Amino acid sequence: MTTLLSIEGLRKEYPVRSGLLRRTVGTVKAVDGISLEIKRGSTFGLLGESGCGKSTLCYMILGLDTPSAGSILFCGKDITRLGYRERKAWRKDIQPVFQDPYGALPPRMRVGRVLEEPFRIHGLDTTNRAATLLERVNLPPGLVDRYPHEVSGGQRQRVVIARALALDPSLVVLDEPVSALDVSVQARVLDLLESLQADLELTYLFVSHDLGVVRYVSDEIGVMYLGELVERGSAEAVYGNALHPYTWTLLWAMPSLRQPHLRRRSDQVRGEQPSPLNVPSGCKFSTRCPLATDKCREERPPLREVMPGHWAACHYAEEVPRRMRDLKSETEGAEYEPG
Amino acid sequence: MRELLSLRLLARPTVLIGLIIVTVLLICALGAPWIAPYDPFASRPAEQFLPPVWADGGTTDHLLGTDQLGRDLASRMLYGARTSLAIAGAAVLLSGAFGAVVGLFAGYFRGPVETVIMRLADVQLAFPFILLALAILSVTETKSVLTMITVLAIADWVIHARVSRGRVLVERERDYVRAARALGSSHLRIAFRYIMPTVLPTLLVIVLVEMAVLMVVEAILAFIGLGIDPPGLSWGTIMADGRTNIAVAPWMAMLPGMAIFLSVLGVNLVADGLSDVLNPRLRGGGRIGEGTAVREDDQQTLETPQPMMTTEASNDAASGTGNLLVVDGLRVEFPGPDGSVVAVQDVGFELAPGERLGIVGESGSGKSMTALSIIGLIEAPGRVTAGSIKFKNRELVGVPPRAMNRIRGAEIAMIFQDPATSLNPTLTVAYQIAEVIVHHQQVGRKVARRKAVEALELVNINDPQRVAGAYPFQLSGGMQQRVMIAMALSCKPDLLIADEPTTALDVTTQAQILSELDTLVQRLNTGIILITHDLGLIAEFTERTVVMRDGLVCEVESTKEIVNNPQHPYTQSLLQAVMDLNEPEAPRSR
Repeated sequence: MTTLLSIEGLRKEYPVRSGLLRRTVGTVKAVDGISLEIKRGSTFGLLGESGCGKSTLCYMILGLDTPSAGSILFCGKDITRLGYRERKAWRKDIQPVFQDPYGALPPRMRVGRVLEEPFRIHGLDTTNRAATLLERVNLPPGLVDRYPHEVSGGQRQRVVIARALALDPSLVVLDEPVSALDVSVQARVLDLLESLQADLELTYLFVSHDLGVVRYVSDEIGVMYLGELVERGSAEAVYGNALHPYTWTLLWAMPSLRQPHLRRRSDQVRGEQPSPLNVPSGCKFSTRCPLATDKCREERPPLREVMPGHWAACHYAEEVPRRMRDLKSETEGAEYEPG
Repeated sequence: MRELLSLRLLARPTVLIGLIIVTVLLICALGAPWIAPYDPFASRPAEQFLPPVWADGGTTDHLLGTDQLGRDLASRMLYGARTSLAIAGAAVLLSGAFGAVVGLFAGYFRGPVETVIMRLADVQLAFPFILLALAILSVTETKSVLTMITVLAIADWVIHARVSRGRVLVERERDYVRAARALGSSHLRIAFRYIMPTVLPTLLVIVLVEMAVLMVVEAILAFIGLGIDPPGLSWGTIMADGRTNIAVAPWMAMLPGMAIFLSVLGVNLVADGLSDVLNPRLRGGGRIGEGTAVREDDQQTLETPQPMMTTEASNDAASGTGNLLVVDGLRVEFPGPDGSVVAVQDVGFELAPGERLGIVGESGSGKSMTALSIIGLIEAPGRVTAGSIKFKNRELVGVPPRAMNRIRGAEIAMIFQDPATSLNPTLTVAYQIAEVIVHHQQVGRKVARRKAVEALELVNINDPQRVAGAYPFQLSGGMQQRVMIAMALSCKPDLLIADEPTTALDVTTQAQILSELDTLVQRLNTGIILITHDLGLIAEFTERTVVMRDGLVCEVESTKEIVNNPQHPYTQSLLQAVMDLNEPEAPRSR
């Protein structure tokens, strides 16, 4: 498989202003040196909690925000520095689906019109386009006359997906595409995304905070923490043998139906993600990490290939799986009564 | 659609009155040449200062009397309405259009464009309007209708620009704008095709309100001698004529005054109705809500609610039947233009003291409505129309708001999904918790503050003193939700309703908060109703579960049974959906 999107040392810094005179008092590193590749036809799952910079990363890939440093190569071409015309042309190739289907559709535009907009913007013929697109996402063509607020949340997200597909993109950036939907609807939308990917040879960047969902769809997974990629590898490797303690805490944080273990999972996950304004020195996760040592607090570990195709940014990556499992069995041994 | 719109408008008497006034006004203005009995400019020296028909000496020939030149006032008023309306209308359309576009640019492009436009607006607002009008009107030789329109439009654009910019600032951050940009849409297209239609309804309401304002301003200018030149005729100039003759003919000033008053009132009432129609959340009349709930049987109501201050006493009461809460046949309806929408239907369940009950369902299942009806916080126009909610053997349906206020917080507390919006950002944490304690426990501020800090300690906050003095926005999401829990439990309620308490939090924080809540309610023996869409949380936290869908209860069972042996097909499908996504053991369906 060839590489479709390649990100190299991407950074985005925002100045922090304060006081009456709006003086710059510092910078927030929303995205702090991220490199990754996405292969054509695959799904890259990007996992992270709110405030980790995953949306900023999406905006830069979509050309909605300009990077402070680094490059984004799409089909081998840097798309961060383009003129207006060139940019408009490649925009067809990368399309977004956002989290909140309520906000993603213009409230006073009928569905049909929404779906014709991509063609109008690029001066293309609009005949019968809306109905075809609706059919593609399994919606009845009668929806064209409805306003966004007149259709359900799941249908609305399908309309958003249809609009993203209008111009035959090769990459679709899905920023929390199902988080705002009910569980039963989530599964159906995910299945739709999957069949569309197969039919149209799409590549997905799938961003979510939900491990279950990311695991369900992804071929490769990247885990983000405070603007950095802390782990990256195939879905099986990251889920089966995580090499970063943060990935483990995320795994433990998942509620489970079959084995309710509230007390256990909470005992292993401590503290909260620090504010991006006040990033810890050394390893960014050292303030919460059960394995942290002095070295972690002083020296920031680089993202390194610990096993073939499996990267992690931890000084002790090799030992992490064993030590985290030990930690888990220790707390599991502790007395615990559900309810 | 259109019929529905007008019907809804007519449903409100104030709007109806406004519409009648505006219609009459329009008929007068447009039909003046045909309605007016006389030529408004024809003077009849013999008929000077005739009073209106209802006053002594009035004649039916001149219904509203005559002025100093014997001109018929009724005719002059009709023609005056024409000019007044035309001036105000044209000026407001001009300034509205200009202001809307300028505000759109300022809000959309921001940066230097915004700075220049908005500072200009500030300068103009700071400059006294009358002085501005004087300056403009003194350089023009004639004060025609056109000059008046210009002056008023110049005065008014700032308001429209500001409102427009404010709305655009909100809209430009919405995802549909991002999506349009990602499609390659030009800025102008986004501004006019996407943002403008969304902002327009608000601007229309402002245009109507400002039109009324401009009618008054026009009259004021005329009154101080800056009105349109004679023989031009507006309500303002008639009033100005009346001023000089106020001693002999008071009606001359009074009539245009009344006309302006009524028109402004009418236009404002219509604007009010319009904003209601355009804002669906305000539809459906006045505030109903708490306390007005209707009961089916009136027998078992609480006549005078006893003071319910001490938890000990109420615990005794509860032990009488063994149940803390009994909900039976609950029905919540939202009256709407097309009949009532039933949000909750025949819902019933029980809760023992210290028990944990989960209510699970998807959006629109009525789970939150059920919770809100227990605590008496259903928003108007929704209300409980049937059933009973018995809390410690007292009926809560139909309890007057004041009695409910004493129960809320002290005996039943609630925490909501988003702690950031549940806390007041301008008050410190300690102040907000102390507020609850002072309200329910008859203690002084000092004691309450100490208790507030204790409450913070209770929810695992390491440095309660520092957190107590902090403002909510200085705390992380997890910390904020801990504060909410501390506040809810500060009066040791018997029942805590938690509506999606961890949904807004990060996954790694969720478990910590829940486990802390778990320890706390166990220690205080608080009954809990946990409302969530997340079956995983239900499985971990609750003993019994109510599964809801479309306002109906599907299944009430022990949580173990629900998770391992669901009976209802809906519960089964819900479980399957979660399994597919979340259970590592489950086979991947791809």
